[in-house]
Amino acid sequence: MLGLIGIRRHDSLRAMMSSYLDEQLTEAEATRFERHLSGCEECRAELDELEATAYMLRELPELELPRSLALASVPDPVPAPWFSQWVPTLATSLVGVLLVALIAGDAVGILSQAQQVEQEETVAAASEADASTAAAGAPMVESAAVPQAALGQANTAADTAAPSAEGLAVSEASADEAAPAPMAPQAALAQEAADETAETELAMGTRAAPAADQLEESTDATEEATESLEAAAAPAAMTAPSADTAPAGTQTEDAAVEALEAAVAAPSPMAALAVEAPPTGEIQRILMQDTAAKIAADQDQVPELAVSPDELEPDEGIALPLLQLEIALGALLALLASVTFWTARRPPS
Amino acid sequence: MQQEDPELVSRGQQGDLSAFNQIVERYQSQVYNHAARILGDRTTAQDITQETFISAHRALAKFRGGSLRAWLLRIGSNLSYDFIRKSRRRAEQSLDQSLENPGFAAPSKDPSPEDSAISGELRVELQKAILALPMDQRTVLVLIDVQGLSYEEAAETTRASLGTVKSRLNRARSAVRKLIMQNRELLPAQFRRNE
Repeated sequence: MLGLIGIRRHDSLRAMMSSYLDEQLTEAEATRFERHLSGCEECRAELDELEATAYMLRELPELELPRSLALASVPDPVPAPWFSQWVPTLATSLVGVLLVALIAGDAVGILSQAQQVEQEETVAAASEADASTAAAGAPMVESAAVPQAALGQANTAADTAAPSAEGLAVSEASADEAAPAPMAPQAALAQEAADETAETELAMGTRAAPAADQLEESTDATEEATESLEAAAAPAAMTAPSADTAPAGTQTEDAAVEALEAAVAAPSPMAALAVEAPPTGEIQRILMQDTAAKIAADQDQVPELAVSPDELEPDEGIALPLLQLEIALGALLALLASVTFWTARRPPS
Repeated sequence: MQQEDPELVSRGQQGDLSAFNQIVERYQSQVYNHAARILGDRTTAQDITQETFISAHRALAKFRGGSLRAWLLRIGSNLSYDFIRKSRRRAEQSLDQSLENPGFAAPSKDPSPEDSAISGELRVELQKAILALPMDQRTVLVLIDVQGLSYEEAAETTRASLGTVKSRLNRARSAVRKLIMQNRELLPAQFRRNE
């Protein structure tokens, strides 16, 4: 242990040897070194060799310069590297001008207006994209909404023409709804469904009750159903008209009863189904309410697919990108200014 | 009457070429010897010295006082470092050249009794030992032991602390001592007593 401490002390004092030779130690350090030296033969020998080395180095001859190096003329200016002088300065100037222009434009409002125009263009593009998206998604939405509307309108016609034949009309419309033709134009589909329903009603009515007035009323009901169908094309008026509002429902009740009797007489599976079905007045209302609820739900979903211009309307948020750009340019300007300053102040090599 | 450095610097900063050339005449030998000892190549040292004074003239306006010699030697050191960095193998070549280059073995222009004590072979061995040192130690050793600068001036030249200069010098002298003592037969008689 004492030996290890002695070795460390020996090494630390050896590091002072050169300074001791040149009298660069403090008095305390010199005293401590001399105390160690008096008891260390190795250090004394090394000190002698070190002194001899320093002496020989000092005695190295001065090398003669072959000629005078006095300048004959003023040297040319420093051929500085092309990138170290004007590139940082130019870049700093450009960024500075750009930043000032940006801030000035922001303050005046030119850029805000330009961005507003840009935003409007963006909104228009988004609307177009939404239109195409809606066209692609229409079979999903309208195939659910329009047959139900047609169902409601057809049911309205059935109510109008013959309340007892409502089940048949529902069956017809339901058959159309279940038919695998959701990709067909919805208006045509609904029109077709309504026409078929009306024709059925008309045929039934004609067969069951050939009275001319009933036929006319049935025709009126068909026309109303068609108009209601057209109205159903408007998305805001998708709710099916209530059977209570059917104008000719009461008047054609007797004819409808007769039509039902004729339907029973005729061995039509649909008519049989209609007859076997439970009383349909209440069920029909429930179905219509359910359908209206579904349509409303579908309508609620439709706006979610579109991008509302109000949502993209630029307001306070437009300043944020400008601010970020100004901050970024400011930081870049500071960096370039530092580089320019550093290259200008760099001492000669 | 010889003018002081600050006055010559002031005149040189105002465009007086003759004043600047007085600075050149005063320090060219020291800058040249410093570069030659660091590089081990007298021809390259001459070019480095020339470039040192050209750079000094261009940068004279930025000189803010202090030791003019330290400033010039720093420029020379930096140019020498750049040269060595650009041609790493050049340093190894210069080590070999030092064996054959008679310039490092020749006596000084003012022969003295000590010159006869240090043989040409020993001078070459000393130069080889200097070139074997790391650059930081080499510079300090040449500045203090060969050029005769003070510790403070060496610290100013190398932009290092005084403690760093002492440490580097101690390590450099120890390394040179080990190399030189391998050829004790070349040492002057007064240093061969331990043989």
